[in-house]
Amino acid sequence: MTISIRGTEIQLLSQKAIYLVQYKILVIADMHLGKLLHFRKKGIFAPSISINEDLETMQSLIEEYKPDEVVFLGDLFHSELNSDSDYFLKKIALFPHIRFTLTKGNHDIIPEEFFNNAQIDIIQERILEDKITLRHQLPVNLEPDSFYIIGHVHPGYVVQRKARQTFRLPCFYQSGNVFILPAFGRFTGLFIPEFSEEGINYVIINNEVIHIAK
Amino acid sequence: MNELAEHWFKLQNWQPYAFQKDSWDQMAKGKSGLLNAPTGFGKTMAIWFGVLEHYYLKVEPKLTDNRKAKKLHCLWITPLRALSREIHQATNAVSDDLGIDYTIGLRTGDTLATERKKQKTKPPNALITTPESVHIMLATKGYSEYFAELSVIVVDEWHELMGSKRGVLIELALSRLKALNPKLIIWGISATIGNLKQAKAILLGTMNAGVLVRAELDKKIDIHTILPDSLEKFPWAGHMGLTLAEKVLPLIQQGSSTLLFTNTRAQAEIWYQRLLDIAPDLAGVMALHHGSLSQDLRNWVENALHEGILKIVVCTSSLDLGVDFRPVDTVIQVGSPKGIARFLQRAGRSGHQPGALSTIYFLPTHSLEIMEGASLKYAVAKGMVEDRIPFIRSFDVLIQYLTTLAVSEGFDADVIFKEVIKTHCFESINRQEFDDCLLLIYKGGKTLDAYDEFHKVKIIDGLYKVTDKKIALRHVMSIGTIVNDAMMQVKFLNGKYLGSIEEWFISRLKPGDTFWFSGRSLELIMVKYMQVIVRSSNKKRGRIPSWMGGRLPISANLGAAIRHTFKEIHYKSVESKTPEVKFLMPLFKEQSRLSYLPKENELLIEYVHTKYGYHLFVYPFEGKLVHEGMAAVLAYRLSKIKKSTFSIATNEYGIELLSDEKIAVAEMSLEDLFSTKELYRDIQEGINTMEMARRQFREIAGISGLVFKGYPGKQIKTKHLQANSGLFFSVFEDYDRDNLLLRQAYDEVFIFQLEIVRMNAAFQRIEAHKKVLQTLQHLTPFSFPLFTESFREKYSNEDWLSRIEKIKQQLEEL
Repeated sequence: MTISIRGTEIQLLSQKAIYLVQYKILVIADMHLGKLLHFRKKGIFAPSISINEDLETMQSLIEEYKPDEVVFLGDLFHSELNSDSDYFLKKIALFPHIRFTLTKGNHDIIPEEFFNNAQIDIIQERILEDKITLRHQLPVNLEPDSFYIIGHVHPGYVVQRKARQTFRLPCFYQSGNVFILPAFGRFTGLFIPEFSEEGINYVIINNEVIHIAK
Repeated sequence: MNELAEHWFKLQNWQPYAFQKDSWDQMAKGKSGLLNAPTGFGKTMAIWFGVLEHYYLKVEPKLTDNRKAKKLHCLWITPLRALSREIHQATNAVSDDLGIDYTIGLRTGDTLATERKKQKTKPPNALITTPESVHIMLATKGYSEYFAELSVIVVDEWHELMGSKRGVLIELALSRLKALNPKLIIWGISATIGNLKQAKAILLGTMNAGVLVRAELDKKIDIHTILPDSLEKFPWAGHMGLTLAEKVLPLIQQGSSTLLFTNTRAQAEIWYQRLLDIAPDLAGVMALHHGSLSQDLRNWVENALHEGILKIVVCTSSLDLGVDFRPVDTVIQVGSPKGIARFLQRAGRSGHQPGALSTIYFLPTHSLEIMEGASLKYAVAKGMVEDRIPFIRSFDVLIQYLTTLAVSEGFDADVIFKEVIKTHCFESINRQEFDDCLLLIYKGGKTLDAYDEFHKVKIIDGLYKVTDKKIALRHVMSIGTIVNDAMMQVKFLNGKYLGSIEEWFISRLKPGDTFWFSGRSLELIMVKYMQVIVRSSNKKRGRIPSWMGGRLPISANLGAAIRHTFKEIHYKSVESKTPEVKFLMPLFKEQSRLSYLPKENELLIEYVHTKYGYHLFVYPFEGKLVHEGMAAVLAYRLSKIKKSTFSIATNEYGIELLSDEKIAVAEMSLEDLFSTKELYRDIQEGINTMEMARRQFREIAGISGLVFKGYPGKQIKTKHLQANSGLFFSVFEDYDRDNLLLRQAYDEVFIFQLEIVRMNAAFQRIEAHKKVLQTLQHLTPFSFPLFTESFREKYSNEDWLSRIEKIKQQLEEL
């Protein structure tokens, strides 16, 4: 599904990422790399999963859309470095011609040196034309004429089926001049935003993105 | 005869009961046992003097001067802090009265750290405590020395603990303490339940026969059903109860203190508000008591009840247990008590003198529920008290226990395996399963990865041990089996704590909104972290919070009693009918006129077409839980004939399947629809057991230590370790299907959620019944409550009250 914001074409991908066509930028939010390993390290027996499917998905997205730049909207790593980061470095080394950028998130506590070595730019926000701003979460003081594309929230949508069956699905959420990406990482929870009048959900069901408005 | 007891009873000018003397004799012989006695008849003293005598005859004489330092002699475990406090007071009073040096300590979650430290370095003779606190002591270094001379363990209200995972905590603690002292004397105290013998066997262990002492006290119970002035022929749940509030007032006036029991905390809040509305002079002599209110508030209410200051307390199961309130002489039960044991327990809250009459008023909340009054009388007369079903194979609790032992002194796997399989809960587990549990805490599961950073328990000199202080602390903080929803603390601006409310309710409120809680009208000022800051409001209207998981289903025994009452309807003579059935006859006549009135060996099915769709109503009278499962099976079987989607509603009496399209009842034989053939397969196919297991997994994840709720007051520090259990559930489903805890979630769903045994029995019973199908164009007295149930869910945001009234009027004109 493709939407347009201030003349910028945005493809909503069912892999929980967006592609900014004019800029050739692939945007991925809240990967939370190394989350399960972090849990295990602290003595919580989450299953140990050696192959990281999220990184495989990221690779195939890059191969399909051939972006010039990949922007991670924060919370790239869940916590401290662990062996999952090696997989990550190997993956991005496959694409030396692509620029990787991280807009810093609240979970990103890894020293900047790590990113410098990996040639990943760390910034607070990235402002495109028409004040379309990419960042992890909303700033304290909103610029009234900016349009924010953010992560952080992990939005989800609850589908109420008959016979009391409910399904919780990840979604893109737009309300006013804010557009929120779902969390890219598989091992993340969902937050169900209150349905506001102007809120629009783009819900991901299997390989499709479906538009649901109130 | 017990000399200390003889002396003390003389001091009080009391005569001991036979069961008390019997208990003392058995304990003097060194026997273990189970005492079955009601609250308020001196069951504590029946055991306590046995404890004292044991100490002064067997222990104290052997103490030499150079070993005067005390060692713990007795552990008294209760399910409630309030009860612990009461026992602490009562037993201390005995020591004071007799001028003996036997000291008693109290240790609960409220006990200050300094006090705990003192209890550790200078133990009292006896410690009154809770199951969780015992496990926290087992997680402390030096516990084996601390408990080395422990001689007696008493488990109070064992019937209550047995049916929960807290019972498993007791079983495990006993397995360890018995190993430390094989001669340990174990006594349980239990109210009457259906499986008393099993209760004794589980507590004492199969190696220890023990004795069962029963207090044969003649306790008369008088049950009155409060009938409305006129009968609603089209009843619907919840409507009638409050209109009967007026009838409660004279009962409150005539008694000295009244307990009014409701089934949910929300209902308690509503009733409190309603009574205050219609009788403002109750302000000051009426109080509210439920599990979400702050401990301070509850303590205040309990003390005021003791002192006879309060005329009425509106309460929930929070006042079911333990503590005895002498001034209470009237008990009112609002709505179905859902079980006979619970009803008896509540009735027993009044009339404590031996031979005195316990009076309980049953206040039905809708017309059909009036029948339950008759059923309750029948069930009480026949002594149809429910069994308490003990948990088995609770791997989550086992994992917690193993970590507990690893935190303190470390454990040898072979030794602990042998101890654990002697418990009822784990007698059927094999070494492989035990080793799987060990593997989870030692290696984080069956990991194939050689390079792994998992770290929890290590093996040091053959012992499983936790060495990381942070892991140890996190574990000790999360000992226990009660897993609550994310609760928000409700506080006044000045910091006074009122109680807790589930997060989802608060998330629906905005600052400035009014809601009712702890019997007050409150205005939301702000939400800060996990705190809800409020101030008093004088607005009359406000939303009332409801708490999840408050709904209990009717027990199998009460279900059987209700079906028995149904027989009465068909009695020819009016005299042989109970007042409840007599009162309801117009409703049954209406049912008979509009549809059909089933006999005891018949199953009525109504197929109704209304403008809302096609409804299929079935009335098995098996209780809500069984109906939910049954409805899913019926929906599955019908949709196999013709693809369709159903909306399902259930209540205690029946099932409704609602569809936009015609339902294939005619295309299928009713015998096949209700057949037991392939039942198990159809349950698995027809019910979304995965969704149910996902919910069940929440508790398991909390108990086993997968989900950590955080240190109190330190929300931020643990952020990187927080994840909801649903996430873990999905990960296990995808990557580790054989995981023990995942399997446990499914087992618990089948046993406790779907009540597979009862469901199977219900299908078998119905299979033999004659099925009567009525095809109708209108609703009936039986179907109306079910219809409103689903109607309310669908139209929850609209003014459904007036809409229901309109539909009802149309029906009455038929």
